[in-house]
Amino acid sequence: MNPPVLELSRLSKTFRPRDAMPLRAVDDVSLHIERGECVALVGESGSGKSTLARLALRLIAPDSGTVRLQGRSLMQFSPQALRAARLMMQPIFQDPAASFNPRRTVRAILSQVLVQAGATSVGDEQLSALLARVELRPARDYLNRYPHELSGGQRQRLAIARAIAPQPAVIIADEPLSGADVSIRAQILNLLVDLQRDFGVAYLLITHDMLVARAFSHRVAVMYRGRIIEEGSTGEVLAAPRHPYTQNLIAAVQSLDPPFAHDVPAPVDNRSGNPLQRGYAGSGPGASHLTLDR
Amino acid sequence: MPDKRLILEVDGLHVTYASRGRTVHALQDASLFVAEGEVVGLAGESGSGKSTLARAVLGLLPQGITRIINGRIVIAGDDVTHYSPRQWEGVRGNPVAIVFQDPLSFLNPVMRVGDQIGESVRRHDPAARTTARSMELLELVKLQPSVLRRYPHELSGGMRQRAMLAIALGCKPRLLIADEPTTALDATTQTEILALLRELRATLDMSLLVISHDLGLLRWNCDRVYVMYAGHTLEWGPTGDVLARSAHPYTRGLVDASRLRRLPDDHFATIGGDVPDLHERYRCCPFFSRCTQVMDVCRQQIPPARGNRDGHGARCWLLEDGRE
Repeated sequence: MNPPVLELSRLSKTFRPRDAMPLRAVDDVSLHIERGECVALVGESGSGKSTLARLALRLIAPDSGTVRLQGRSLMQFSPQALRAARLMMQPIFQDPAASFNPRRTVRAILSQVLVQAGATSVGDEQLSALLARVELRPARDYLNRYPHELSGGQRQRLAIARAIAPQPAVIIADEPLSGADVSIRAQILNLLVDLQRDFGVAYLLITHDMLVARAFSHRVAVMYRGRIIEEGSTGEVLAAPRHPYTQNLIAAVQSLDPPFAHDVPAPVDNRSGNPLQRGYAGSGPGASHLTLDR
Repeated sequence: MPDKRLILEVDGLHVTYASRGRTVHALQDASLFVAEGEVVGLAGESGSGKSTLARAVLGLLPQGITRIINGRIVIAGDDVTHYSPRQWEGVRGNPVAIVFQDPLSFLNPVMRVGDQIGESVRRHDPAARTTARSMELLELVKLQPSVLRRYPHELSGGMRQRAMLAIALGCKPRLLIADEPTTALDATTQTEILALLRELRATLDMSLLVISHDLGLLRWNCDRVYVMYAGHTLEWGPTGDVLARSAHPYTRGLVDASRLRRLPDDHFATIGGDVPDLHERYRCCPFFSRCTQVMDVCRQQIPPARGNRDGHGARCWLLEDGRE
């Protein structure tokens, strides 16, 4: 059996600010992600989600514990070896504008990562294919632009293009959808679905949005005060949360369709008895209820 | 027209900005009303014009570069459309106040919360006993009295939003506009703040206009909603009717995309096409280029408003006679 793509074992990290009490941000956390799997890490601000992501990416060093990528521990790696290994483990951050060098064009941004991944020369054809993957078409419209010349949704697509360029085994996405409009959010999720299907990439998706976790993840880990307090298949955790904190999180969701529960991957039946869904199923205009008095 | 008195009425508002030498038609044909005691939601994506509308209603459109081309704004019976900055001072705070998405950028960072609440109280009523009234306001928004001595950066996101709310309530507004009030907050805090807003609406007898891109949030908190797109109000009516029996294809698209349910092909429903170009002044349906049910007439003429007895209405050619 293959080892997990990413395996975090008993990670701990305490921040010690000079003028405040030490803060145990991540406290003995273990989590693993299999090939092609999506694990959602949910929790509220301050729960330690983002610190865990940074520990997994080895952007900061843990006080104790191990990060294993495709079975190999990253803990004793030299900076160079770590850089090479990290190509297999790509981040996407919440604010794509802040994660690009503003003085580099789309062409330069993507060429750089392809060269890091071992390409000796990068042609426009290769860049076009990459941009097409994230539906930035035609490529000539984008290659010479700077990140600030793109819309928010286009920038997030560029961030995804950069992340998939080295063909990573796992993408660690920290709130990639917050701030996105409803229709953009669905478009980006569709892109992540396609990449998973086509390349078997795995995701660690960090989100405070239970709706996104429900829609996209196979498993959910709930983080609270630096610890994972509940973990299980998304269906089980959302349908029957055990921990009171998880129950609160789920109760707070203001979803269009009550009750809030897991519905993946069963196809949606628009003609069910849910009164919220009646009246606009199918392809008709669904407005026949409007009597046309002025 | 509803039986109740209207606190706010916006009628066919058209607002332009000058931007880099070009004209942006941020609002083109926006109409809505809020009756006394009502909670009304305003939904739309970025660029729909919902925040411009909020600013227009408070006289906060940037001077010099903004023009109200057409339409009118009536607040508590007074036509305020062309008020001078001085006249607007008599509107802001009372009868209309606003709380914004990001309280940190609207609270004064070097002033204690108590002083900021006190300032609002005295502005509304110079003779008020400031401390007693500030304590009362804190109690209303369920903050501890000790918060009066704190600075904004010492508070959590939810507490800051409550402090903003206390400042707004200090002026005893009859209409409170909440512009994406909980977008940056955690879900549990978000639910608390909205519950608080609705509670205050009842105890203080004010109206609420909640602006949000989150249909789920509006679904649970508003009596009626308006859906905006490219500066137009495209659909309006009782919340349940608009969201469950949407009349406009854009509303249906927005509802389906909000659900995040998997389609049989494993994808999520989305709205195709590009965001609207607001440099254009639409002389037809603004949604035609993205609409899956577009007809010839949609490209040629502005659809008229059609509504039913319950106040559910939309602007869409599909609702014309001869179509089901």
